[in-house]
Amino acid sequence: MLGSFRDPAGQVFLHRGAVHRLVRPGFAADYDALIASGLYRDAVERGLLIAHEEIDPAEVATSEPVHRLLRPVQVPFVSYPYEWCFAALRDAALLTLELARLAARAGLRLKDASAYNVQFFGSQPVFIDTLSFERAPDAGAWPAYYQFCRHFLAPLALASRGDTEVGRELRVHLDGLPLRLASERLPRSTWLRPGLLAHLHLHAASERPAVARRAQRSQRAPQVSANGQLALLDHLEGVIRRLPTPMGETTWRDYEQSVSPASAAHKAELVNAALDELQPTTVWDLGANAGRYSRLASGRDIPTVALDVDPRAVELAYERARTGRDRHLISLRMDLTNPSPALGWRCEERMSLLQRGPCDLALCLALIHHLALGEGIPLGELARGLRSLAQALLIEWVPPSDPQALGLLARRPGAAGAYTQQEFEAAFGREYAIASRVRVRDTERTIYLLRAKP
Amino acid sequence: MAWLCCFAFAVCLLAPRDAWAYIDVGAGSMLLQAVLASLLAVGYAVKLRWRQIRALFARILRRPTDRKAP
Repeated sequence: MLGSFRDPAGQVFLHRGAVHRLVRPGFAADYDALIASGLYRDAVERGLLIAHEEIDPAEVATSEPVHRLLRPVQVPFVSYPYEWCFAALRDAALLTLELARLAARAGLRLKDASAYNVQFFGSQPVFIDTLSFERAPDAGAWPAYYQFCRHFLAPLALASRGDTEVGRELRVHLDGLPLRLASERLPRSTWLRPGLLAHLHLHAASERPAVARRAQRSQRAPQVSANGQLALLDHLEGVIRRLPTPMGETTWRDYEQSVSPASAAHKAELVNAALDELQPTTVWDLGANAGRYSRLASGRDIPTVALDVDPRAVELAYERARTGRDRHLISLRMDLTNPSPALGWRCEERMSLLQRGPCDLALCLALIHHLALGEGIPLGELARGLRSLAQALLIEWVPPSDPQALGLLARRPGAAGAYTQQEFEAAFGREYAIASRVRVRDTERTIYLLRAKP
Repeated sequence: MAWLCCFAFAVCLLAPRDAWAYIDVGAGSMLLQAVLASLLAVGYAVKLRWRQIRALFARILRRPTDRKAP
């Protein structure tokens, strides 16, 4: 696993299917200080930092000397900042600041503030890089300030003003959004917001060669007192908390109202029946909307991933999971016609969506007409694509006579010929075996339970 | 307070705009952080001790009334 290869303090690797982290001898004093200071225990007890057990290094054959070998609690589904909604990125930012504050009080410091150091257990963000803590000099600056603003403040400031594409841009800028880019795109009125002016606009100006050169020429490193560092963290927290959530809840309410209560209840029954029958260990809800059916799986403590292309739906699903303290449902933004690719050095630093699967069961409810008719993906290709994501499908056939399908067909009339239930069964029958077929109450739709052919 | 920080740093920006290859763009960030942190620290100290400060003022303001009391 190359995601950690940049860190001189240690390395992350897979051993017997589980993520392990080794601590190199050169980092022994910092790791020991993390434990001895009580910071590790405190942060783990508060659910901020991932727990680990120290195991015997002899258990794993490594070619290099090892100070400690750690086996952290395993993350059920790895996700990335460019897939998170605004509220998830904000919670990850607040978690990072809280850990930086705890570290400063314990006489240590958080040396990295990368958003990739945070993972989600359901709606609960947890910091996963145990080796990001180091002993702090008496009056050093917070080395992660610049990184924090690029990874968190800049995208949050843009997203809070309705820029829904900023998440996609984080795919391109893996080390955070360039501050100059964010500063140029924010409205001029944000220059009147002291927090954004200081940490973003002037920060972007500080990248100017003349300023950077002057700073570099200085013989003394900039001094920041412990109190000054805490003040900076406190101020950043205030700025982030004051950023408005991009869309008010009132604009989201229509999502689940287009389905009749009887058909929605019947769909829920069918989802529950599929969960009973298959007993999946992972469920992905593709086109999850606000996660109504995803919650049936996460309510059974099954690690569940709700994917949707609409940022408002993802935001709502996240907020509901957060309110319900759901530790099993993670809600992510994903365009299934252009899912997250493998990225970074050798295309191995960040996994593609496909590399994170396949899941045991995918829910594809009210989805297929959008992909087949809206996006023009032939049914055979759809079946092959879904087969690479899921071992079993609970998939809803939306006939061409359905009002939702009619709207899409009006825009793509040529697609009507190949979009029939017979074609659907033939295409999916090549990849899966049909386990059941049930007509949804109050509709002309059919829900199929499909299992991968052996 | 934050306005003061911004002004102080803006003064630092009044430098000639020449280019220099191989500069560390994060160096200016450290400088900004030092300026911001030192100024924000004052407000932070007040915030932390706000209750004590308020209690102190309350005591000072109450004293003259106490003296007037019979």
